[in-house]
Amino acid sequence: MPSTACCQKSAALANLQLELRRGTLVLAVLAAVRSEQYGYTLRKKLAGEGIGIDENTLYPLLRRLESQGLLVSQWREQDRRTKRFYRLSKEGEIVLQELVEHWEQMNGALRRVMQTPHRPDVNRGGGPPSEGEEHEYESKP
Amino acid sequence: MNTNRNHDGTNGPTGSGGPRETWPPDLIDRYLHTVGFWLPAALRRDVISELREDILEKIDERQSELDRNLTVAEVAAVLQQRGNPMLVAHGFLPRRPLIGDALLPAYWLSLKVIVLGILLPIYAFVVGPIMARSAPNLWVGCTQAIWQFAIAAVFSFGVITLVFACFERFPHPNLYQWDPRRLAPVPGDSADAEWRREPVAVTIAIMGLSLALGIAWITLMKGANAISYQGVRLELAPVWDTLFWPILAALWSGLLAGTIRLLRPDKPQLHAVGRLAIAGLSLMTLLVLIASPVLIESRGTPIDTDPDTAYWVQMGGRIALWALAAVVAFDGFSEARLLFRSKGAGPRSAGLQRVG
Repeated sequence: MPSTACCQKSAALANLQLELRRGTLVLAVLAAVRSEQYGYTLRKKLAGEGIGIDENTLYPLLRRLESQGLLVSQWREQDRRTKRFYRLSKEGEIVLQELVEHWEQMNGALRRVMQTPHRPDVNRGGGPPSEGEEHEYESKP
Repeated sequence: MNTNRNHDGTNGPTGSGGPRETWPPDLIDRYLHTVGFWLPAALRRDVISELREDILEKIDERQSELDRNLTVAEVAAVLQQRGNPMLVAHGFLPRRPLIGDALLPAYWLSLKVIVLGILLPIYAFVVGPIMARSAPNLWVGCTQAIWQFAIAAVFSFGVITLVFACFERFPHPNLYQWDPRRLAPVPGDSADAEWRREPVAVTIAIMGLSLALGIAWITLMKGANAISYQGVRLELAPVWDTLFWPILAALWSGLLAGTIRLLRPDKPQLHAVGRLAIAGLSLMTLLVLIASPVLIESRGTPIDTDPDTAYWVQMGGRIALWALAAVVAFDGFSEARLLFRSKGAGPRSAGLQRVG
């Protein structure tokens, strides 16, 4: 059934997108709480930047990051309501810096992989390349 | 920010002349209370306060957009959009599965081997027919057998899950910090080595067989230890009841041996010692049984009237036990021989590559 195949494909795509997003959300949240935020404004801020995040994902994530010592939180009154404000801890700053470096490396590597022209190898039977073949392939732009 | 609504849940004046329908003051409280029910006490207060704040912010924002108070349906929609209270609470709980990814393949394999590969055939071909014969009619017997199988399967499922959950909570260092040098030796190329190609599967099979036999034994002794057939009633003698625990221990010691084998596949000598000990315990139990004057109590015609028949009922049981004892003795002898051989040959001794 073509419609079933289409649904399966879109479900698989949604899952892959979810997996891809999962790690980057942590990075986004850590980066966003360099300035103090409470949950609602943090979500708004991220949504404004195009990173929509569900409340049921955000709050447990904030708590997990806090338990890992990457965030610190404080209950404070604002507009006659008590809110929990989060900000990056000292340790969180270091981790964020390292994560950003790692992400940039990954991004660069991925970009290089994406830019490498796809060359279907019709001559080889499917086995691993020999040393010479590998060298030849790598040496071409 | 719209401040027309009081945060105890009652609504203040909207100032816009819009609809004045109020939403129940306890709607949010009921929602948060349900979320809190699924949260551990240590987290509850903190999480609920934060969730309340987030929900109120959202309602405020919506009221500002509409310039009026929200209706009951609209507040309910906000809460519905927030999600099922149980799922919301679940997000805050520690993500620790009962059985993790590392053990899951072994767990499924154990369930399949024990329930489908061992328990089902035992109940289908051994326990089932015995129960069917001892029942007033075939239908009742089959129903009892199926019921007993279901109980045994659920019990096995529970025990296996418990064992694996314990492994998960208290993992053996070999599970995560494993060393290739400690892996089981590759079986030799001898013709009879084919069945040993999957040492983990065979180990689980040994564990499962021990567990299943133990369960079957309990079922038989505590449930249906008598067979009635065409006026003859055969019943296990009291000696079986006396030796209930040693027999059960002998059957379930295979479970222990299998576990050790699974955790330390690099210790063939330890496995051989374990199997030797099991063989010794089994042999002693069997000898006590054989020495007992009555193995099977029998009543009814022709047993009551014909001493020869009564004699052969006893003798039949005794011959079966002797045969079993011979198998156990041979197994013990083989293990002992392999153990002594290995002292000279080291762990790569072909004999000690035996699984189970």
